[in-house]
Amino acid sequence: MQSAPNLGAILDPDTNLPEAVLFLISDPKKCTGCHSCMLMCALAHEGKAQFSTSRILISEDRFGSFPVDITIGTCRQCKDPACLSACRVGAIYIDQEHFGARVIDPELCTGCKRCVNACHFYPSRVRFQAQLKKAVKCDLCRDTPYWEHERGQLACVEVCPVNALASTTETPLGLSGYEVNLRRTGGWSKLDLPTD
Amino acid sequence: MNGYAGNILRIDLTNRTTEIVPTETYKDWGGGHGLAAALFFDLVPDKTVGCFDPRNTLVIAPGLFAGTLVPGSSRAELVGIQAQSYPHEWFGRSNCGGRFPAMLKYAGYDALVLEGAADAPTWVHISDGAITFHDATGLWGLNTFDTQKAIVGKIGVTNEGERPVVLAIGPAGENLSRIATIQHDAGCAFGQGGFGGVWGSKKLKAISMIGTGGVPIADPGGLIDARLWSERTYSYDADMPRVHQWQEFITSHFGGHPNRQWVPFEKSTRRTSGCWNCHLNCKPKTASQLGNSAHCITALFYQDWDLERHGRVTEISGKAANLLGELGINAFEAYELVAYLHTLREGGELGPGKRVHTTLPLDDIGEMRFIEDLLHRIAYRIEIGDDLAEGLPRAAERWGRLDQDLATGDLKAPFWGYPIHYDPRTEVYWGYASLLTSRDVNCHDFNVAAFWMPTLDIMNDREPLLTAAEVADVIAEKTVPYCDPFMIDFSDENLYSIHMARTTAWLLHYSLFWKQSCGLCDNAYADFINPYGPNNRGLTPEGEVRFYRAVTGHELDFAQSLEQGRRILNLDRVIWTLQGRHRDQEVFPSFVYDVDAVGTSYVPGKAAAYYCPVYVDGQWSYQNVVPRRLDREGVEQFKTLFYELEGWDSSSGRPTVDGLRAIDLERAADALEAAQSKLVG
Repeated sequence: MQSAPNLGAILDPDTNLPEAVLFLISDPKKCTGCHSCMLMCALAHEGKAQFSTSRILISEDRFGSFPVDITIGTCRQCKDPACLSACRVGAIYIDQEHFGARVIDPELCTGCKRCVNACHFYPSRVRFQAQLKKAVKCDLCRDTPYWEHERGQLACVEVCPVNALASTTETPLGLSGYEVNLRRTGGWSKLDLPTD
Repeated sequence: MNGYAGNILRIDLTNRTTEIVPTETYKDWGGGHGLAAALFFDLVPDKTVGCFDPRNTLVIAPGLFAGTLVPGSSRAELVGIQAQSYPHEWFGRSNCGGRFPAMLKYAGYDALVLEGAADAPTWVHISDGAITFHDATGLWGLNTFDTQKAIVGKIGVTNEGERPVVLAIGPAGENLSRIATIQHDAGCAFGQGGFGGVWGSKKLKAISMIGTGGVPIADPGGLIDARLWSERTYSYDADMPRVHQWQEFITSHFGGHPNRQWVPFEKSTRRTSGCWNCHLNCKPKTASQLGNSAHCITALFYQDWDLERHGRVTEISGKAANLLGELGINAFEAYELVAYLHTLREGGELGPGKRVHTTLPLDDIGEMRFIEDLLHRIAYRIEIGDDLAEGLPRAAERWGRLDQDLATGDLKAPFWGYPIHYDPRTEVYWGYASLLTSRDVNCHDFNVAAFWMPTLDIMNDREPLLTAAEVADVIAEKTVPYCDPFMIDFSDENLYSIHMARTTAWLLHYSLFWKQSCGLCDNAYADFINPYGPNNRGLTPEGEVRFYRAVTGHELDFAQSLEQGRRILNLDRVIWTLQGRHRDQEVFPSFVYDVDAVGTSYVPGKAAAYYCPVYVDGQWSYQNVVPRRLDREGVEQFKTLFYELEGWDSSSGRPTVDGLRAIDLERAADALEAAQSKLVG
């Protein structure tokens, strides 16, 4: 499903940009495909129940085979964010007051989609919101006017009914560091579900 | 309008035209069943049309909560004249979950009205409000899985990885089977009602949809808070589950968890999967794709035969489940059907040259070749399959065995020809609610308290989570407006009482509003007993009203919500009355009165039993209530009490014109008044 990203740019970037200090990680083998995270994300940020404004992307083939039937598209808060580099109006910036999140300023965004197309990943983790003609992306729940929460809590993590999403302050090592095994808690095996 | 997409789509299949109706026109009915029944009532002048008549109009409506963050709410209702019920084709309902209830709203519609009939195979596509009709000649003949894949292939997956949602019929529907389903994805279907056959009669092969819209929410923060509160307080903890066997079954409990036995042949390479915005996620998905998304009766329908044959549940059970979905055949009917054929065969009545002739490989029950042959014969109406495609009662009638097999109970079809589910001789309210509507009611609200918890815990030699007295307290606390502890008393003395009339009424009113109109899943609601909740109590009724307030912005007292359900039941009842329903028709087949229920053993070595809460000699306890049969006069006494409780005429079982006007059902009252001189009895 995912095309090969430019690993060199992500893993060994030639940049002095400040790194993020909070990351969203996931376990696609634990995900149930319920999409609650997408609804929660859209609701917290935009106040409307819809998928098209969610910053996290779950893609599932209901006729597919475990475990490749589901992909979880999360923003990696890249060390060398291609979206930021692509933006020509300075609408994407790093908020060091909020875990170093790579954030889009909606006031400055012109809706040119350069950032959408520049993202290393497929589907792009920067989404174009057709109604507002603006790009949106994961801001580590910085701007969630519809959800009061403690700093550092992530909407998608909080709502996931099986804890297939988690946050970490440790920088994930490589791409595989973002997709981890969250099933070794004991409970998953009590439900006769695989933990390896 | 918060909670709504805003429009209803009328699709005229005869003329390939569409019309938009603002949902505002029908906002009094909520969504789902209430909305669909009101549309049916207004758009079908003659309620006596046959199921395959082009004038039979089907309405599909997602629940009010579908597409929102309310947990376990991606459900939709379908109503119309059904093909399955026997002997009458009653107005009926079916329910389906998955992705499509939410996606239909995101595509712009709160309901689809399917009118007329196409003259050639047709597929309708909805994309962000735009409708296109497609020639489905090339799809006709494909099974439901291949049809869905073909349509998704034609439309394509969006740049963001979203797949179109498809509803489709298979060969069984194309061949007008009365037990044909409308399939969605691998494991979701409008199963009951035979509506797949009705689609076949309309030459409607599929409806697909994709949308990028959304649902406005009155109080987004309130909804988020309610969702997190419900999950943290009442849902199972996936990393530290408290496993009670009864939590694994598809029965109303917010804290239920995925069943470990749906695909036991593939435990090491599977996930648990769910409908959109669900917290339970009850369906399995496997690496082999065998049994993918099959759960409850779809997963189980062939397991016992597979187990008996091979000493374990094998991949055959998964293959059989997939084939059932591919051909589009009702799983509950298939479950009872195999048992019935086995009984006939054991009695020497079925086989080559026998009274019921067939060349089916009857020696191979439990093997794939038997079930594959049987299901194909049904789907394509080959030999004995032509009879079975009509559903069991009509097949038995063709074979001249219906009366005798309903008398002995060899054919267990106690409510309008539907296969037995929970036994009307033990959980009597289940039978009553089915009889008073038009199908196996399939509402599990009282099922944990009445049966699963006591029966499984006692059979496993452990104390039930709650004592019978505590269960009575929970019921009294949560069944507003009745608040009657004896609604859960299954002693012999209470079976025909006003208390059981209240149980039946509460179940119907609650389900019609909260589950079938708002879209809450029967697997999670009503939530009475919950091992995760405070004092083992579930979230009903606090959760429901909290969700409603957040989504719509309207305060709704729980008692008012039940009154809304009563209003919807009255509308349904008027439609049945206009179809000719009379209390004299509302009787169980003979075996319910003349043959004892014996219960089931769920633990090897334990005797069959059916443990229920009972109040005897001033004490609450759990008792095995079988053997038991019902009393004819007692059932008639119950019916009179129920009709009176609903404000209906007890001599006919029909609503009254004045009663309908009192609950603002003016058009229904007018229709009843105009028809009264023609009604028999």
